[in-house]
Amino acid sequence: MKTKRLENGNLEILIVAWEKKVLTGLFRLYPQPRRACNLTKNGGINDAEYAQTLLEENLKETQLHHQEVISRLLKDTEEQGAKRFRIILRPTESETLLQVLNDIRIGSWLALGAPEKKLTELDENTAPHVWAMELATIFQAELLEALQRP
Amino acid sequence: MTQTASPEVRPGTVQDQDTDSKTDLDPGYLVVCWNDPVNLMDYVTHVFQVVFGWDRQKAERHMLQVHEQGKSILTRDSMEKAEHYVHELQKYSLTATLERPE
Repeated sequence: MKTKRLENGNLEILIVAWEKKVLTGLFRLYPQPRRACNLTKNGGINDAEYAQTLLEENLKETQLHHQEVISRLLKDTEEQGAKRFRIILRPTESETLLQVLNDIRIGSWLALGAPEKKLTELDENTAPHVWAMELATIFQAELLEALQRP
Repeated sequence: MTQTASPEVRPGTVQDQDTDSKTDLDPGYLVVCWNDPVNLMDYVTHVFQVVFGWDRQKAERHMLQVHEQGKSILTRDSMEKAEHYVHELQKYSLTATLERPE
């Protein structure tokens, strides 16, 4: 995966065939069940129940929007010669991709039982989640680095 | 445009710049980010930069505070704004909450 910041602020991503396959496989894992996170811990908010409902609805809408973006993303991939592909991301789409990859990481982590430390031994049940987490981390780190580049 | 007369300030006294009575009456709401064992440090820094428009240094300072002290108070604002920030942070899957100052 190679990334380049374009002059108009968009991000160009060049991937090879196997990376596209991996990304497609990862995107199939989205959306992952979200962690229930309360809007507040110590209360003190009027109509807290309603505010919590609004938050959950907002997060659901965001996930639906993200699903649309990622399904479009790989479809719009431009073939660059043999087995090379080019994706152009607008700044908002870069943030979407970042959130999606992070949600996949967190979903896989939750599926592993939310371990505090990395698992050292894998079996047929845990291996797919560990791989998903590791692969999403690689793409996420690459994307983060590209976004931080001036 | 109308002009207002400048308040008279006696020599040797310091004028109170904080004239926003709303601030005195309403303590506002705190936006707190809590530590978790899964989000990457660089990711958290990036999210703070995007959501609050902070420079990398400030974002990193708060990220480290979350990491080392378990939480960081990111900002204090009106209910509406604080709620907006919490929504944005939770969209990035950070554990962020809205709290009344104690």
